[in-house]
Amino acid sequence: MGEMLSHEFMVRAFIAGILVGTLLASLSVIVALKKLSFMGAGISHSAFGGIAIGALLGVDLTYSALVFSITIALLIGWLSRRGRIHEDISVGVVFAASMAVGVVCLGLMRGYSIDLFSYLFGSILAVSQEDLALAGAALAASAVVMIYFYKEFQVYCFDEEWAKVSGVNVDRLQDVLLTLIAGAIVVSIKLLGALLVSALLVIPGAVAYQLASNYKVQFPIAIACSLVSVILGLTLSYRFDIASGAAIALSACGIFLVSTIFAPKWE
Amino acid sequence: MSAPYVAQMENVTVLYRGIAALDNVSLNIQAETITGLIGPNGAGKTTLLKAFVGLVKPDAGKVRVFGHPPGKAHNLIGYVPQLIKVESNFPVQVREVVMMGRYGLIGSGRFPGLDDREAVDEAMARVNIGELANKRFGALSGGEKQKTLIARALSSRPRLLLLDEPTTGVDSPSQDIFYQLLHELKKDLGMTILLVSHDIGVITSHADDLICINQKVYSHGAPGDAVGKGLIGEAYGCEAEILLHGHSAPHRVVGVHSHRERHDG
Repeated sequence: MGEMLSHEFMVRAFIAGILVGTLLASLSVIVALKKLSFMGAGISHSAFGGIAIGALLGVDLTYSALVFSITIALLIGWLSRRGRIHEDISVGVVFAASMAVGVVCLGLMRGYSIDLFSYLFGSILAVSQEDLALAGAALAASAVVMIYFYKEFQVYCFDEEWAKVSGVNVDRLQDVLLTLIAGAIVVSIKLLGALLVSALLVIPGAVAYQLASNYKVQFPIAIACSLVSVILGLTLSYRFDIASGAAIALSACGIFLVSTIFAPKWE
Repeated sequence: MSAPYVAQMENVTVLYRGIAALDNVSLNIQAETITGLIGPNGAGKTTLLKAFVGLVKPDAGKVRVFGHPPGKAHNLIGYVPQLIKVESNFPVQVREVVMMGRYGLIGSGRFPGLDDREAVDEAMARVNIGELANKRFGALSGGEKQKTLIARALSSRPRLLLLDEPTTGVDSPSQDIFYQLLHELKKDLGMTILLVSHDIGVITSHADDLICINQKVYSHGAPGDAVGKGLIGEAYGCEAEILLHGHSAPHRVVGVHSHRERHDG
């Protein structure tokens, strides 16, 4: 461990992992309760389109992915509220469209030099100081919003109709949630990769759902699951020279499997 | 002199994909009364309640609750829906569900205080679910869930209570206790109550007013009026036979329904 942490890039990767692991895990509780896992996967895959557009236009890839993903997230929310089609269909359509946009943009570029592999699957070498600052800011902003709307998110997950009766603007709350999810995904891409970031957006919440019978307790359980996955995954990534996103996702899957076996049976 | 109106509908029409769930409905709910709302399946009873609570926006007409549009009066209204579907593993305890009734009053960015906890204790005591406080909502029986949802509606200390088939899944002794509770809420707290029921016999013996709808209002008045004039059978679209039970109260409506096209609502 000491040898591993003697490298500055590893220290940056661990700090980034703790920040984005906490950020994604706290949102994953809502994702699990509201059954938004497919939506989370759809938004994270759409970030690929944003990265490709950024590369084609020659602008910062993280910011182009941020703008694109938030736009896609809000579009999914708007489509699902139209009520004519089921939510998973709108996710499927937008997901396919944004991936296609990404492939077309990459095809239009001649000899592009971006390290696509690290954006798709994550790399511990790719995390910069700027990424750490962005992840820290995203975590702080998300924490403030999550605490401010703590009750609203609970009632939104439990009984959306009652949330409306209580005066909660459910459409706006959903937009806030989708924006947080999109932002969290983009700041996590360097470490986890666009294709694997959804692992920490889904699995920690699923583990907490199986283990805790109380909404409040779900958050620390999800965060603990996420941090263990990050630490174990980064260690495996360093030792065996594998993509950090894959190593973290596999660690999280292992925890999910164990939690499924040992989850208490509720009466 | 009659009591003032707390909830009013004026020429309200609600359409679902072009089909009227409510068709030019006008009615007034008097303060401090228990009003029963009856009608066949798909008559628009739930839609009518949802219009009062602001969940359904009328395509035409005006809805007022305490003189305000429904969305501006949510803290004055308690609403008990038909049973909600919740996964049995959903991580929420009975006390938390009842506390959700206070969320509209507490507001965003704030957490429940002493007043809120007292109101929740009071609401749980009223429906006698104190011992269920720490049980998971998903683990409750249908009747216990219904009581919890009633306590949730009461926890905001509303002035108008709207209940959609509140005695579904509730056994007979508990139904008696439930109607006793409604009378106490009216008498002790001056609450106005509007409830949907299919049990015409029971509702006519407890309600001050009875509204019979089937998209339109067929009758609105003292329970005996609608029964006496045969308006219930007309609303139900069948040759109704009112079966008497006990103290000459009609127990239920039976008959052969016509093939009128209906839809959910």
